[in-house]
Amino acid sequence: MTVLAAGLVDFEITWRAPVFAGAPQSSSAEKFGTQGINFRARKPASEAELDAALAALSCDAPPGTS
Amino acid sequence: MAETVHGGAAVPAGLDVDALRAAIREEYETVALDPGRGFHFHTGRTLAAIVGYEDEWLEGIPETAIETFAGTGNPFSMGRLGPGERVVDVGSGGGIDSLIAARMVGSEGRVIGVDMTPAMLERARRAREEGGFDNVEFRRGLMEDLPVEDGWADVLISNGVLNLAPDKSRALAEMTRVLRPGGRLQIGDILVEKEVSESAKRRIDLWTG
Repeated sequence: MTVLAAGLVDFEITWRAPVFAGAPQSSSAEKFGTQGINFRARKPASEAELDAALAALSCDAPPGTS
Repeated sequence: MAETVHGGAAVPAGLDVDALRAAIREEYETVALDPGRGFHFHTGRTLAAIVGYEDEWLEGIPETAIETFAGTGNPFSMGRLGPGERVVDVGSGGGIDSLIAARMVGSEGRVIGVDMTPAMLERARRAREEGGFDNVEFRRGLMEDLPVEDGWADVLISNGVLNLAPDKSRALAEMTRVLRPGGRLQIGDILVEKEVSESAKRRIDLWTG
């Protein structure tokens, strides 16, 4: 949501790994389960594309459930 | 399992932002001045191998830049940069990713590296001179206030830096601002698998260690 709120679309985490394991000094990484990641996203080509991405997040209740 | 990419968005309540930035600057100044000292993260060629940097990317990159590498991922694994592209490297450190990018985009492309630590900027500029790169420059600045004009970049890269932003929403908004419409964001960062308490978010020693 933070990424979309910043005006980005197509967010995807492509890789994760325990990049802190075996480092010369100890860290809080193990305590918090911290991993290195790669992620990508894209600035929409138009306002309409961003609007469409935001609309896709709509949480309208299906008819008959409210 | 709760997962939070780079720890959530808003500035944690009670966090001393100036003290945090000073601690981060001190930590990375130490990396710049004494990269072989041994840290709570891997550095240099050891780290480059862990995160999958290809040997050919490092050919011709001065050791001045390589030995201070302290990223957490591999921005180039999500797509090579094309000839003529304009790239912003947020938190460029000793310059390794900016120089790799400069090689990929070629003489028609441009790279701007941004960092807030003077010792790292000095090292990156020295590496640029040693390697003879004339399509890259390094500017001092914060990721929440990038010294780059609106819509300038085709690609924004960053590596192990966004997690250090006290205001991640603002940093991401700045990254979006400097990208052209349709521009790409390719970032290495961290993911925290366990819930981080509000009190822990105020502990600067945990941000930097």
